[in-house]
Amino acid sequence: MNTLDSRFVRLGDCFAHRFSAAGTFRYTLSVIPSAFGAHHHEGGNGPTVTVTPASGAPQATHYVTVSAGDGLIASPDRVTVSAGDLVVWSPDKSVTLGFRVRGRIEDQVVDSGSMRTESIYTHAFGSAGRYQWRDANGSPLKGEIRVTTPNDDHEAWLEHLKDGALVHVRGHQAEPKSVEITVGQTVVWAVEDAPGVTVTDVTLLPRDGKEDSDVGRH
Amino acid sequence: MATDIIAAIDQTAANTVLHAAESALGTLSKTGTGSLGPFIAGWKASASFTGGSVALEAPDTVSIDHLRVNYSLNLKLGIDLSFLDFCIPQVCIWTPWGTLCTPTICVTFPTISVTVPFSTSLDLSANFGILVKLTGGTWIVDVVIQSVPTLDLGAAATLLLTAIGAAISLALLAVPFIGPFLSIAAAVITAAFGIAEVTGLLGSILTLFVSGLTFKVWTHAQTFQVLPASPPFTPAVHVLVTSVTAGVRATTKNELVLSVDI
Amino acid sequence: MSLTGTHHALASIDEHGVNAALHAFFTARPHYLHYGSPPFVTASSTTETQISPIAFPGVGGGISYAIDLTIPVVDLYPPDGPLPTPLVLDPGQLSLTTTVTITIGCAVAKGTENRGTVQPVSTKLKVVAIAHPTSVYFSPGVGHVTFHVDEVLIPDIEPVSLRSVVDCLIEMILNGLLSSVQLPFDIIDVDFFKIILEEGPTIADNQIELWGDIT
Repeated sequence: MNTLDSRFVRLGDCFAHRFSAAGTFRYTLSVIPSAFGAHHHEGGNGPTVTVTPASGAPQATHYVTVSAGDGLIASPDRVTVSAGDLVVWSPDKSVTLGFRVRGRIEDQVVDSGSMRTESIYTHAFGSAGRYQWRDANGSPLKGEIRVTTPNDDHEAWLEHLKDGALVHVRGHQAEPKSVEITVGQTVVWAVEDAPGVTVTDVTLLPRDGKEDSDVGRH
Repeated sequence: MATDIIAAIDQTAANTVLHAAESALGTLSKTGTGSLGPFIAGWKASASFTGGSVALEAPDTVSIDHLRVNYSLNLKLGIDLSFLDFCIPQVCIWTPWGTLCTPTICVTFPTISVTVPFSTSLDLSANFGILVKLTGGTWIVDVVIQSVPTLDLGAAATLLLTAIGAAISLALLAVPFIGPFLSIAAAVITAAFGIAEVTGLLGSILTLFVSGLTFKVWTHAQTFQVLPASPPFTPAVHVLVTSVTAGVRATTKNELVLSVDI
Repeated sequence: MSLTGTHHALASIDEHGVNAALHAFFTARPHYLHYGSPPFVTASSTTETQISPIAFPGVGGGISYAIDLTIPVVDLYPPDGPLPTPLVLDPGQLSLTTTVTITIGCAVAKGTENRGTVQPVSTKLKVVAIAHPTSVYFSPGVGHVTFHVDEVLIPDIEPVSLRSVVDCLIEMILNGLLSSVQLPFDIIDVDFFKIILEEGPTIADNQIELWGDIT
């Protein structure tokens, strides 16, 4: 449902990447978070992002909608962008389990399940509470999101939803470590120079004996 | 005309017999659907009967006062929350690689299923008639309710409405993105039905248990084994019950009288 | 006047009911009406009961005999008609009428054509007895009513001393067989309730009545 886990991009989430260099990004869409599942389909007639050299035009954002039909389908499945543009993947209502974007452009791997650099994950929070998150791939990266219940001013709340909150991840540090938002608002994680990380609710991860110092969720 | 066998009990003993018949009836169960305002309510209910004070009235009426109906109800309401559907607007935010604008995300709310368990009891007073029948080789004397009395459901309906409200609130809390809409959702839902609708639903359910309420006060095989067999030379002894009548006789005491011919 | 009186429950069976029950009893269990020693009854069965012959010195094998009764018919107080003098039916009593056939195996004397054989010789006696009911109560709803003969009259036997002997014999025989005749409470209360016996069995108005409370 509204689970915080960048390994599965679900309704309310987005994954975005800035393609800085020219080339062709061939990728797969998968429900399986493991590396095996991603490699299985590479090299086929899958969706692509063709990155042309920078043209000097202002940065553009390109949107790809992922739907579930006979497998996961990217629409459009062929996108041509200029170097420096953003591509945003998001699911429609038919996608229930979530998806992972994984592919290669030249010698660079782009993977929503293991974000390295110039990658963005967004999540709109549907329920109030305290959410502690960390990297499911084992790095020390972690943080906290506090989601409050809005007051009764419904109109003001709807207007407030346009405001997002940014968490800038560099390596395995998150800044800020703690963010407070209202139910319905979106948090944006911008990942830079990281060792392949995820943003995952700690309640979804097995206990590893290391207790977080903060109080648990909700 | 003289009867072969007469078994008669006074009002005090009739209470004992009726209470035993209530226990023997056990717990009755029924299922069905009803409505609460615009919402469909599926339900499972069970009821048992205890107590009551018996008065006998000639020629054939057994009046029971303050008969306790103990009932349990499991309501399942399907509440369509699509009236709350909304869209999260586009969020544009600065990132180190330029401004990211998310697409508009529309949230559709599901139909939630709310289960409401509820148990309580009510007292009713009613007249029962006496019915004698021979069915499948068995004589049966039943006391059968003559008409469904007015059921006093005020207090129970209030409690049930409160229980429904609490269950709906709990179910709503589990719906993602509902937070800001909780008060709207609660207001719309509670405006859709109130005490009158709950009373109506409760009444329709309980009427199913009370209408035709029958207590079996006597049942016996038509072929009556007087003595069992004792092998090897002593067979069982049977008599045939050829007719049965039952009624209330009023003299210095009111008595329930079973008259049997063999 | 109420049926239950000062009690909470009444169970009663009238004369027709008692006779119907007795008829069912003896029809199902005729061996209570037919007794005999060999050769009259070679083995006990559902229809007859084997008894031992009367041992007597010099009578080889003993005196063989048989007793057969018809199904007794009961008349509960008040009497339906006059009883043979001097019998009187009082409140709380019942009269019982049956026909008793006594048969002995008569050994044929020497010198006759059939010497050494046993010939049956019978007499039929109409018997009227006065009895009263008794009960055995074990627990609520569990017990039975039975009957005990107080006086027997077989009219027209002479001399009087012989009548006395036969009356006593038949009284003993009737009490012997009646000891096996039981009317369980649950035929009288037809299982409508389990009676806790407080009064009875009494006989009045052609009925046997039991009064009590119920569980």
